[in-house]
Amino acid sequence: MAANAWIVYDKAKERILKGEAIALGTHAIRCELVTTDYTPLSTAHEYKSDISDNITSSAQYPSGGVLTSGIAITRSNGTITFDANDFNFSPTSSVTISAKYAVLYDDSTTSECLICYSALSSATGPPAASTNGTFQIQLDASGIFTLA
Amino acid sequence: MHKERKDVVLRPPCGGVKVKSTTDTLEEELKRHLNGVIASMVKWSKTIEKQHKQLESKHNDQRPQDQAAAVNSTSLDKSE
Repeated sequence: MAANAWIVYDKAKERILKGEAIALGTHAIRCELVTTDYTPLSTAHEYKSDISDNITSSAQYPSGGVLTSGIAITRSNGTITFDANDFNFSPTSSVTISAKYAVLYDDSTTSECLICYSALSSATGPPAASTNGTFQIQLDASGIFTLA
Repeated sequence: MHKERKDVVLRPPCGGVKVKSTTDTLEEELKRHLNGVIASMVKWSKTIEKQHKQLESKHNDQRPQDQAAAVNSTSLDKSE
C-alpha cells in the first residue's frame, strides 16, 4: 500500500538543531496512528496536543502508540540517517485499526514534541486499515529520514 | 463466527532534511564566486610582490661585497 515519505515538522528541525527537548538517540520515541480527522501542518504543529484525533487507546492499541525500538543514528558520506525497527500494531483479538497518518513524537518530553509524520494513503484515498490482523509500518531501507 | 483477517503493511519512503547553506540566486552565487577568485588573485599578487622585494633586497645586499672583492682583486693584480 502506498505510504508517503516522512515529513519532519519544522519545529522539530529547530529543536534538533538547538538541542532542545528532542533527543532521538536517547529518548523514548513513539509512533502514534491518527485518523482522517487530523490535518497535518508541518509548519505549525509542534506538540502531541496538536494531534486532535489519535486512535483511542484500548487493550488492542497501546496508549500513546508503540514505542520505537532499535533506534539507530548513523553517518555515511555526509548523510546522517535516523532509523529504527518496523512499527507493528498487533491486536490479540478481533479489532479494526484504521489510520490515515503515522506520527512520531518524543515521549520523554513533558509536552511530547512532534518529530515527523507519514501519510499512510493517498490524499484522496481511504485510510489504511487492518481487521483482526497486524497493522505494520515497514520502514524503508534508507531509514525514517536523513539529514544531508 | 469467524471474522475475516486483514493485515496491512505500509512502506513509507525515507524522508529527508536537506541542508542549504545559501539561498542566493545564480547571479549572486556567481558574483560571490568571482569575488573569491579576485580576492585570491590579489592575495597571490601581493605574495609574489613581497617575494620579489625580498629577492631584490637580498641581491642588493650581496652586490657591494662582490664589488669590494672585485676591487681587492684588481688592486692585487696591480700590486703584482
